[in-house]
Amino acid sequence: MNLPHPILEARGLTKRYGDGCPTCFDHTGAAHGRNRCPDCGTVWACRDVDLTIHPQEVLGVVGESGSGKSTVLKMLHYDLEADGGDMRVRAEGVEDSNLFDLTSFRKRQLRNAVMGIVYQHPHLGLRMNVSSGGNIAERLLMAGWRNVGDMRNRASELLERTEVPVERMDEAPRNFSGGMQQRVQIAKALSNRPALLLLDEVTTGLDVSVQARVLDLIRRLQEELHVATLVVSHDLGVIRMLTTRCMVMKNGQVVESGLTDQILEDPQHAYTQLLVSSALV
Amino acid sequence: MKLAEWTERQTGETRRAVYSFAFIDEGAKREIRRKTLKAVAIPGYQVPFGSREMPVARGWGTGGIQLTLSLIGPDDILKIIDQGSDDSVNAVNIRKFVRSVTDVETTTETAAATLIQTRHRIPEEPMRDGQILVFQVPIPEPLRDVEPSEAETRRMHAEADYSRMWLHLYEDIVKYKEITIGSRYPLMVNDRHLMDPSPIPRWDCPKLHQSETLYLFGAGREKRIYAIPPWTEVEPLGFEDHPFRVENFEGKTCRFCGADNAFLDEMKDEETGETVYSCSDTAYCLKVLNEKGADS
Amino acid sequence: MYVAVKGGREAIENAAKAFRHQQVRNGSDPLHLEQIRDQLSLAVDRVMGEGGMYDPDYGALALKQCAGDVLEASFMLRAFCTTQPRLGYSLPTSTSEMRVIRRISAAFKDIPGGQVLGPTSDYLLRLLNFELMKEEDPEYQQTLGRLLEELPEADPLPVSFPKVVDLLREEGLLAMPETDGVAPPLVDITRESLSFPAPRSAALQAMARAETGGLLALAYSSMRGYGMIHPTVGELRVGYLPVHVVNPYTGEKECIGEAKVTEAEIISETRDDSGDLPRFSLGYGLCLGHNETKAISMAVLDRSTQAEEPQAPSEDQEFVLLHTEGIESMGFCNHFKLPHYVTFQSALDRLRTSREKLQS
Repeated sequence: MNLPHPILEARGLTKRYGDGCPTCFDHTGAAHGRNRCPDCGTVWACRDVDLTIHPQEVLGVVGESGSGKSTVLKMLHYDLEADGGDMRVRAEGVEDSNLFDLTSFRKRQLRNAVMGIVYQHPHLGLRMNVSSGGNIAERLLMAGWRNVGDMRNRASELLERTEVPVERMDEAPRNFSGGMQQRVQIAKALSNRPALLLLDEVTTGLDVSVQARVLDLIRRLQEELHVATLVVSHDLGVIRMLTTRCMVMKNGQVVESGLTDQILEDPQHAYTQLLVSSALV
Repeated sequence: MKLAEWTERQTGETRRAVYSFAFIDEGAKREIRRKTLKAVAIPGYQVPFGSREMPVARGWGTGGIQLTLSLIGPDDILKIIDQGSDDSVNAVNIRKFVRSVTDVETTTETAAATLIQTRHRIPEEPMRDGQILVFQVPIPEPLRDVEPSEAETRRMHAEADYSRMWLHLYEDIVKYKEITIGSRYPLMVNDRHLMDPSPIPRWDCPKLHQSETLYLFGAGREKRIYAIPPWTEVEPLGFEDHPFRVENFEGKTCRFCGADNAFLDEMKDEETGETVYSCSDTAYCLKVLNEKGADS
Repeated sequence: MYVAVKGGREAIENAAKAFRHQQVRNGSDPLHLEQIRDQLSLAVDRVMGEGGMYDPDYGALALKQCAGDVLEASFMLRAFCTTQPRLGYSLPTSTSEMRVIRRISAAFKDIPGGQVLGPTSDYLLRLLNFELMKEEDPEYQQTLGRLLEELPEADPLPVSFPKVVDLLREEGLLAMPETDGVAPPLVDITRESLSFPAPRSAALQAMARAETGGLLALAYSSMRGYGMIHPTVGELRVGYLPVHVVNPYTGEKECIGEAKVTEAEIISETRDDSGDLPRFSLGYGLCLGHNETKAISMAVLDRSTQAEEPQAPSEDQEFVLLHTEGIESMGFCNHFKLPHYVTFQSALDRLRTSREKLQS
């Protein structure tokens, strides 16, 4: 099979809180059921995780809270500094070197140019006191747009796509419902036509009916835009609906990965089996 | 005149016996000059410096005064203005102080001065090569209105992360159909650093672009020095469809000299109740008047 | 004919004369510096502390010249410092060497060396004493004589006292600052502008020079509930600290005098769980002169600004240090009295244009 080059390739992603000690790995990880070393107290939030995403592909990362799945996403988006690992992105204008080693100046440019993110909490991704149009414009401004009319056109186009009433473009998202805030966040994330979209528990905390609508929207956007996406969620339903391939994480490590359908139908690892069976109950 | 001669000439007055030429101790002057050189080398970048206390209150021009005192020599000819006027309280005060510790010659004529210290204006008469204009700066940080934390604004400059200032302008247009910043208009210097030009009106901003003169900015309370060296690119932020605009004085002229190309102060005529205008730069106004007198 | 722009100079000179006239117009006796220095010593102490310069005579002179405005007087000392070369730095001195005139602990009833109340008005009733209204020279001398008679004979105080907080340290109950054995370099904020996060030496220096009222306001906010410090005064000391310098010719350490200081060590009851076992932690305050309110406020803020994630203004180091600086805040506040005709004209222009556009 002739796969295209992955758009994102990350190796050995590691994040720890503490100095670490020689015996850390003897006591932590999925096999030991914990990520905090009993000897030195270091927490290994994420340890030696590899992942690749191909063009147009949607990769899921699933696990319970504390499994390290959000840590992975936050390191890729430079929200958290990685303690180890190598990240490469194949997109126009991106250097072919470990992207964790860039200056903070370059990281900011790169993040704005190639990534879009949607957080669980809208206040992390949106400026609540700035108009929705302004929120979208901020990313365009960062990319060098200098025409207010053009930015407003692009913002209305995106808001229409994400089913936010365009006449509310000049209103601040703090007045909006949770679902609508999430849709503004999605519009903002897509504003620069990112090569990679990161979704961090986007429907957690929303009412079930609202959840369904947001998920529908994301799926439709995927079909239209074909943007490579990383979906992080504790919810197997979300993973099943959005992703083609997924990884299961526990205590900072990947315990199983493969095609989503296969993993959900025939989980191999005991932990995945537990997840799947409890989700079905 | 040599410094030694100056010292010899001094009378027995206490301030002369106690205070040395140009007030600040020489070590501090050297430090300020070194920081000034650094500022010139990185146009628009705010260089932190060990700001000293002046006998003038913080916020009353202490940054400008420290620059002036560290640069001034006995042969300099000094002009000091506030709001464009040589006679405004702040200018009078500072001129008196600098004269008392240097004895330098002072002038009100822009062209005659070698060193000009200013609060809130750039003289209307174009400045030349060889002159220095020192600005008094209350808030050197152009991002302060969008971000209160100093640690954060330092990071934003380091990363040239200015989107929040642009966003501020965008939001202004959405709400008010205009960029509402009156003075202290944010400028991009040398295509790299966002800079606060001190509270000069927008009218004066274009004078900073590709100028013959060295512009130095001193913020005493906030302890920053920055500079626009001659022939530097200086561009006010603006959008293609909402460009930067200076104050509009269309159809208005100075009631004294008749100038129609100067920044004007607006006031009510006490007798007629009418709105009248006069030049904010009083030295310029006098000059135009004198020239008219000579013509007629 | 050109009158509107003239006249500033003369008015300014006259304003200064009028200010001076206010002080002397009723013909009262001129103040002698000694009177201010000795009888208004706490005001002088405050001026020296906030001015960052130790010289009681100059402090008194500044107060006299500023008609008693403490902030203005401190400001004058600072401006004077600008004209003086920095010849060198004194050597670090341990406050256990302090010649103590007052020391109390609120943490323990009995402390080694004992509580020494010393000179304080803490326990006096704040009642106006109308006898002071007509205090004349002979009576004043009598008072002095009577005071000397009434004061009991006391044993001379020991040369130095053990520190109360050392007791807690020995027991391992106090968190110790993390060091790798090497003292961090000292920062001098009068030579280098503050950057954040500021090293502790810079933060302590900034607060030692800060304005008493500003420190108090922020420390009080923390004590009242916008913070989590819950302080106990471990020890409060007032006394004289020897000032040592290295003789530039001989290289020997020499004592060149002493300076009156106030030191406060507050124990924070908020536990520090970063080690194996919970401990108390310490906040430190020290300022020139006798100023207990300032030393305690500073100690509380020293502790509160060590919070890793600030939740309240008093826990945000940048906020505390930049806004308690008295000379700067006073100057900036007062600069709003200066003309702002030009900026206001620009603001008017923007407002009018925006209104026109919104109406059309």
